[in-house]
Amino acid sequence: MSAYPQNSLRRSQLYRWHHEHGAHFANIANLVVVNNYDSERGDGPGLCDLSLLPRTGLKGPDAIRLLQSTVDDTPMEPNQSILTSDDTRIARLSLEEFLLLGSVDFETSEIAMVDQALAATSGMTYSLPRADSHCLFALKGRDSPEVLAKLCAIDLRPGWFATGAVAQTSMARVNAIIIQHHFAAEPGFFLLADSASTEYLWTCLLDALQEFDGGAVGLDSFRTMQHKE
Amino acid sequence: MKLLHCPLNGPRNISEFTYGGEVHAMPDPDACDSSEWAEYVFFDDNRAGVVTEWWCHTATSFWFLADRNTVSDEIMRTYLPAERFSGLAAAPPDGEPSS
Repeated sequence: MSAYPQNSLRRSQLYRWHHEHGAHFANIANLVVVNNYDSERGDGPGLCDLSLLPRTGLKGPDAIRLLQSTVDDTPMEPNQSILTSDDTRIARLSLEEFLLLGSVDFETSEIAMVDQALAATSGMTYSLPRADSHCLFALKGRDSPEVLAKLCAIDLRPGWFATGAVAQTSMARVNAIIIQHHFAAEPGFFLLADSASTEYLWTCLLDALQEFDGGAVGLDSFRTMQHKE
Repeated sequence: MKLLHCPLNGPRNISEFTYGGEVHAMPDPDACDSSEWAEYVFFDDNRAGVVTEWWCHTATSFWFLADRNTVSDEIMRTYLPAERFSGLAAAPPDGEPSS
C-alpha cells in the first residue's frame, strides 16, 4: 500500500518529519496517516501524531442543548470528558464549551453529526473547529504520566488524574489541553496545542520519551493493542 | 513556584496567569466627563491592603476575580465575576473585598 502525504491536500504539519524518520503511510478515510516507522520500538511509551483525526468544538449558552440532542451522553462538569458509544471523546472545557475527538480508528460519525447540527442551529451556539487551529497527539503507555511530568506541573498519575479528566495547562511552556484516555488497555493522553507549536511540542515530547525508551509510533500500534486485548 | 487557585481549573502555577488590573466601577460613558473616564481607563488606586483584581488563566482565557492583599501578596480568595456583577447594587465599593 503506497500513500504519500504530498499527494493529499490535507496533511499534518509533521509530514516532513515523518518522511525523514522512515514513516510508512496509509490511506485511512481519505487521509494519509503514519502507519508505522522503520525503527519503531514496541515496549516503551509511544507518541502518535493524530493531527488529522476528525474533531470539532462548540461554545455558547445553548451548546449543551445542541450536544444533548445529537449525542447519547455529555460530561456534566467542566474539565471532565466521557467516551460515547461511538468512541467519540467529548471533553467539557468550561460550562459552555465542548471539544469532540473522533476515535483513533477514524470511524466516528458523531463529529459529522454535531457539525451538521451546528450548521443548522439558530440558537446561541458557535462552532469552534479545532482541526486546523490545534495539533493533536496521542501519548500512550504505562509511563506516560511520568513522561509528561517532565513538561507539565499537573500530577497526571492515575491516582490523582482520573479516567477522562481534562487539564488545560502549560506544557513545555505552551498552552495545552491534556485529556486522559485509555487506548485499549493502555493508559494514555490526548494532547492538543496550538498548531503553530506542533513541531516544537513534538520535539519536546520525543526528548522526554527518550528517558523511558519510548518514541514515535504509527496508527498500527493501536491496532496491535486491540489484538492483544 | 507560587500557586493561584483558578475557579475553573483549580490550583495552577502563577506563571499560567495574567494580571488584569484592579476592579473599578465603570462610570456612565454618556454622563461622565473626560477626566472621570480617563481616571477609569488609565489610573489605579494602588491601595495598600486587600484589593479586588482581575486575573486571567492564560491556558483557557478564563477571567476571574481575586481578593489580594497588596502588602503581604496573600491571595485571600478567587471567584467568578458573576458573584460580583450579577447584582450591581449589592456589590461592595471599589477596592474592598466581597464578603
